[in-house]
Amino acid sequence: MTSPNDDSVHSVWRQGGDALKPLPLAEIKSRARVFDRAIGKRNRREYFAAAFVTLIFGLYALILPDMLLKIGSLLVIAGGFVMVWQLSRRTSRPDPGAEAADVRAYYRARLVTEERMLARVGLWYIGPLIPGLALFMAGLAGQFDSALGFAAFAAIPALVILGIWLLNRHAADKLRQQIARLDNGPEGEWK
Amino acid sequence: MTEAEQDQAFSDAIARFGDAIARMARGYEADADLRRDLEQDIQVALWQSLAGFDGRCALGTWVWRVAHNRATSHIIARRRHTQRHWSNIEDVDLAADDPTPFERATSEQATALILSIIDRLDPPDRQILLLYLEGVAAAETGEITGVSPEVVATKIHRFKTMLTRRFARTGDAL
Repeated sequence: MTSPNDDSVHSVWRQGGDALKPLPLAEIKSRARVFDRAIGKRNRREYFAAAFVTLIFGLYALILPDMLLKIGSLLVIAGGFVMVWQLSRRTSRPDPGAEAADVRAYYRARLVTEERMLARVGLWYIGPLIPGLALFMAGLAGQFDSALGFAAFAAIPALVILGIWLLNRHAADKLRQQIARLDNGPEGEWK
Repeated sequence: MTEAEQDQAFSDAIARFGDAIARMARGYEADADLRRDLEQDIQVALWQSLAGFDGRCALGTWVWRVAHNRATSHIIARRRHTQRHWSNIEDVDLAADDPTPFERATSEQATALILSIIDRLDPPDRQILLLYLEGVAAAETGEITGVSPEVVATKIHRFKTMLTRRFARTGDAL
């Protein structure tokens, strides 16, 4: 077999695809001022989830009679706000200065940021919700006839939270492997 | 750099590299709407970054770094939701389909295969191949990516071998 001809490969590549649609400079400057647009889009799913939690537990706080349930609901809402704040703070923001670095250095820095975020998810993502959920569950405990029934009920959210924590820890492990692969590639692979 | 100079440098960069940036974006995002968003984000990032452009590297090197880095941020963020798995090019294995002579393969087929390979790659390898496809020299690719030219050559060789296996029989011209 013959090796591919560079010009042919380049030619094939250049034939496809649409041309870039340039943004007007005024639009670019406007978007540059609204710097967090991409981050806002990226975290939209979490923001919707937080809004849903606020709505549901807000209703609970209004209509449920028990004081523990009311306080627990309000603490869950507060925890949701803390979680969203932490999410927007911890997701690395595009940095126009850093983006001019060589792509390997930039990629490694991004992986490290993501790894730290996922490895500590118990602290900033799950942790803020725990006090409110614990209080809410304590408020519900009195409505169960048996401790076993309550334990079975409480196990459901506990398992969901455990699952989220384990999934994120697993993702952090994979990111650590990627970082190690970058750092410990074959001798001479990286400058 | 004054804002007028920044604007001028940006206009020059888009005039020279705009279409190449659009082609590069195909290597990072398959969804047309999301790709359009990515292209626009790259333009914003490029304009912002050029405020710090001091001419110590070529404009092309600067443009490629910013474009690839912004695209890398895009796919890292997307991966949080799609759980995609990426590999080094050495670990990518094509399905054992019969080779198709290149003259019988359409440009779309060839492009689709190229994109299917690129889509599986870690960002560092992805960047090297996308720069190769644009005809950027190995030395400049090394400067852009932070990889030695020898590694660039090795990765490109592996890529061309994959294309050969798939598209070329003895004597075919690809």
